[in-house]
Amino acid sequence: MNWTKVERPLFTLLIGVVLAGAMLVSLEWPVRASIIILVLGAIGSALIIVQLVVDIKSAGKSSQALTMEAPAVKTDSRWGTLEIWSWIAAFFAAIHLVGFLAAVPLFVFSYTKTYGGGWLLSAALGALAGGFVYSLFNVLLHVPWPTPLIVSLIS
Amino acid sequence: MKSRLPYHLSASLAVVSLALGVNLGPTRAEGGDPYYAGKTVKILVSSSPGGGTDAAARVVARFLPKYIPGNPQTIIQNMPGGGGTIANNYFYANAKADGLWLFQDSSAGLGNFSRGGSHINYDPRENLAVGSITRGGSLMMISKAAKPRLTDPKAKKVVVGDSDGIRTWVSTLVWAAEYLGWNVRFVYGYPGTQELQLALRQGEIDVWGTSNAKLVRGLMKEGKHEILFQHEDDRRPGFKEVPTFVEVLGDKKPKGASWEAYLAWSGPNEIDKFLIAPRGTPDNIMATLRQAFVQMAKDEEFKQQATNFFGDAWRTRTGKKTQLMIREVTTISKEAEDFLTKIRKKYGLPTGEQRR
Amino acid sequence: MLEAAIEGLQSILTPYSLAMMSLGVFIGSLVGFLPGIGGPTTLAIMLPFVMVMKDPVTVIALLVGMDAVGNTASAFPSILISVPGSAGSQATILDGYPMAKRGEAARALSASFMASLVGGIVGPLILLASLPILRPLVLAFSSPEFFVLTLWGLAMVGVLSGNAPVKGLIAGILGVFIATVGLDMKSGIERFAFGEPYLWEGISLIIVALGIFGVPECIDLASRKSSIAERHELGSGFKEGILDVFRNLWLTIRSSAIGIWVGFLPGLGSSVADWFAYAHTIQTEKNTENFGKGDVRGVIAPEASNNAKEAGSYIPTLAFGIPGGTSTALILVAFTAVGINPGPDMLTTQLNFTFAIIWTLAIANIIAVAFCMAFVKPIAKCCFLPFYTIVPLILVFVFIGAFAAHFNHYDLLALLVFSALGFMMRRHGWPRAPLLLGVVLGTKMELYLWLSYTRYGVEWLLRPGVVILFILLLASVFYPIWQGRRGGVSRAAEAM
Repeated sequence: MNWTKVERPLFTLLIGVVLAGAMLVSLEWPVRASIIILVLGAIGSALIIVQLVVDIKSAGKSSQALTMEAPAVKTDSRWGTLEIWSWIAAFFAAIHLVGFLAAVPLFVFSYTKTYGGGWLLSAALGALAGGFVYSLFNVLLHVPWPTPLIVSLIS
Repeated sequence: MKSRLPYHLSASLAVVSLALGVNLGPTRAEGGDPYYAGKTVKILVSSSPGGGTDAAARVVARFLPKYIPGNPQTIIQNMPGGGGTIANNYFYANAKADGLWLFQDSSAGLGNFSRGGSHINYDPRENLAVGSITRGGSLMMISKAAKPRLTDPKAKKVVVGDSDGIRTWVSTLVWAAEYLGWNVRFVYGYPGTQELQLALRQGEIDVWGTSNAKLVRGLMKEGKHEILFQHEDDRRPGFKEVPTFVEVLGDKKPKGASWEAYLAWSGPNEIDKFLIAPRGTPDNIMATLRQAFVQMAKDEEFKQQATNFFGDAWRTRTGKKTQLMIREVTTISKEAEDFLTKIRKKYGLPTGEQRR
Repeated sequence: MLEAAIEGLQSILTPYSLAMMSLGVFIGSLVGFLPGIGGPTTLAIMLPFVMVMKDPVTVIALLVGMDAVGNTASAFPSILISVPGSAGSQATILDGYPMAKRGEAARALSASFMASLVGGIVGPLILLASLPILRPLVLAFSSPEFFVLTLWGLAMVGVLSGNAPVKGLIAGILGVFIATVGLDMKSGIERFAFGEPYLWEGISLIIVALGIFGVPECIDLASRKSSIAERHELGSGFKEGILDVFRNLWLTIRSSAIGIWVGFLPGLGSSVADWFAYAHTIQTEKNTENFGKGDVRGVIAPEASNNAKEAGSYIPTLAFGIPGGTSTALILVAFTAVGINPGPDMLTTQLNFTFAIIWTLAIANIIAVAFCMAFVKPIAKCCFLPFYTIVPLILVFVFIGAFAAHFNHYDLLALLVFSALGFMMRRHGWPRAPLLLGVVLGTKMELYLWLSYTRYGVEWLLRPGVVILFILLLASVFYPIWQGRRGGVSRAAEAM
């Protein structure tokens, strides 16, 4: 089954749901705050319906090339984008868990190493990224880091 | 205030102050390292960089460490938004009472508290004041062309401009409209002081108030505006010819709940820019900080720079005095509170929810 | 006047001032290079250092120099990795990154810096020329005029949507919705914040931009498992890029003028100039079919305008002491501390300082461009690096940039949300630029409409400024259509 065929109208629908939900929430506000949402939301909802019809009618055809942008992502393998999304999610989780200063070198090192970088290259890049974050945020900006989850669990 | 700052600065900037090292001052406690030696004090600021509150914080960040034994470093972190509500909530919930967290707030934070609402999750009466810098009461400017319309009920209404309709000086014009019958209406929503200054010059608004004597003098030079009155108990030095608002009210000055409501709204103005430490900060640390603030106020260089920023009418107040005043202006009876809501509604100003 | 001009130049040309200016340019370039860490952050860091300086000219050289070039080096990340280095370099991505992918990174970069140079010099020149009319110029724009200008900006959604106008409009509307998140000043309520303090100040534009543009391209790169550039040669692109600017000199100058114009309107904000210039280019140039796919004109226009804009933002500052943006607000703090009196005096007793500022704007741009040009070739080579070295660094870059918005975990969460949105939009052929434009202009439009209405009722519609701007707006929207039709007619005639 061609998954994009289903996915495209679903994405349009999702945006429509967001717009509609926003309009619903804004109904409780004074008019001066909600009018922009209601007016634009009404126009947007009408457009969503138009777009949905287009999506369903053209289902099966490949996504039309945009004149204003680079062509859409084409991945060779089925898991192409899922793979990198998992990396991003892992990075996000790592920042939460061990904090920025540890997560950055760890992430850079493991990514480079996994996809073909040598030990030396991976370690050097990791150190470079870590050092950069440290000098910018700790030394220069004195950023108050949020406490990593692991630290608050231990203490 | 909803500030939509250009891009990267959307909110917080953390900043190392030069107070590190360069200002190695004379005060080193004898025997043993003082508490503040090698430490960093973070000063949270309730507004975006560049305004009066920010300027106050920056001057303090530069000169206060000089008089704290141990000469700590200082970092400034701006947290604008919601007329100081965001920073106030954050500070109240997160600040540690170790003397390393300070907060530079302005009168708006007190006014917001008095008006209440579900998003107010702080109590300014519990914080401990280190000291305050007052720039003198607001000066109300009016365009000369619009002035005759002020007392002529048949003329087009005189337009008062403000950012969010809750600045303390707005109270004076509301009470003037109510008790002197002034022919005014309120337009608010301007993003900030810059836009308001521009709008006043363009004639989009006719009346605007600010404590910044420097700004006022700049405007006066252009010759199209004059000062209506000053929002102050006693006439400011340098503006001796300008009447105070109470003088303008004269025998029309109301009593009871109305006046109490007026004071609750306008009172915080007098405190202006105040520096606080979180509740629970140990007494000895508070004493050190408060004393440093007093000493700083006598520093010649500090005085010079404060004058550069605030004009010549500024003065400082001690921590204890500031503390008392904060308590005073944030305590309001139910009756006065209701009056406040009613009169704000009457003049089309945003009311927020009632505090329960 | 001439005396003051010469005096200003002399004070700037001392070795010490020049050294300070170079330092400022160096810091400004470095900062422009880093997404999220922008001019205002750096200025805030530097303030305490400059507040103790004694010589006002040194402060001008350092700070104005730094501020003037913040949008020059930002073209590096925009073009090379599709991550906007600063507010002014968002539109540069649209054509710059496709060029890099085609192996033309060096050309795109040198064209961008050359355009920056032209913008950086034309800007101060126009500022100079407008000194006598500064005040009436600034006063000509009130809330109603600002409202029409924001409408004009939003009309560009059509231009930026290409052949997907419906999706583009929806994206623009979604952008406006995103912009409304936070405390609303005119009603005192919170919109779409759901009681969450993080959302009160609204969603940071940088996070939206990083998520919408930066991450999806990085995902693309990681999935292709190759280098950014599909062809592995640097070629003669460097010289070609410089020549491109001269071939399109008239466009470059027009874009600079747009930059100045946006810059001096304090209500529009710093992130609009590049979009205005980009849309203007598409509307007025011929042979537009390659825009968005790597047309060098799409790089030249935004980069010329964002440098000229800095000069423009000094117009309200010099005329009234009103800062044109956050950067200038902080610079004014420093000026005040060292005894320069921003405001009316700048045009009378302190005219020499005014000229020192104008000279610094021009000279700093020359230094910055020379500096960046020297790095084009080595840095452009990063397009040929294997993906496994560049992908993790881009992601770290993007995460840091987002985190710098509030130093809060929610920043990263927001980044993920917008990354997913940008990814899906890219995957299903939704134009992303209109969304960003909606975020940039949405609440401004709302605010100025509110102010216009509460202040003037419906009378504001008849103000001469509004009428003139509205006619210009309609002309700018319909002129390309009319031209296109005429072109079609003449082509049809030829065919017969």
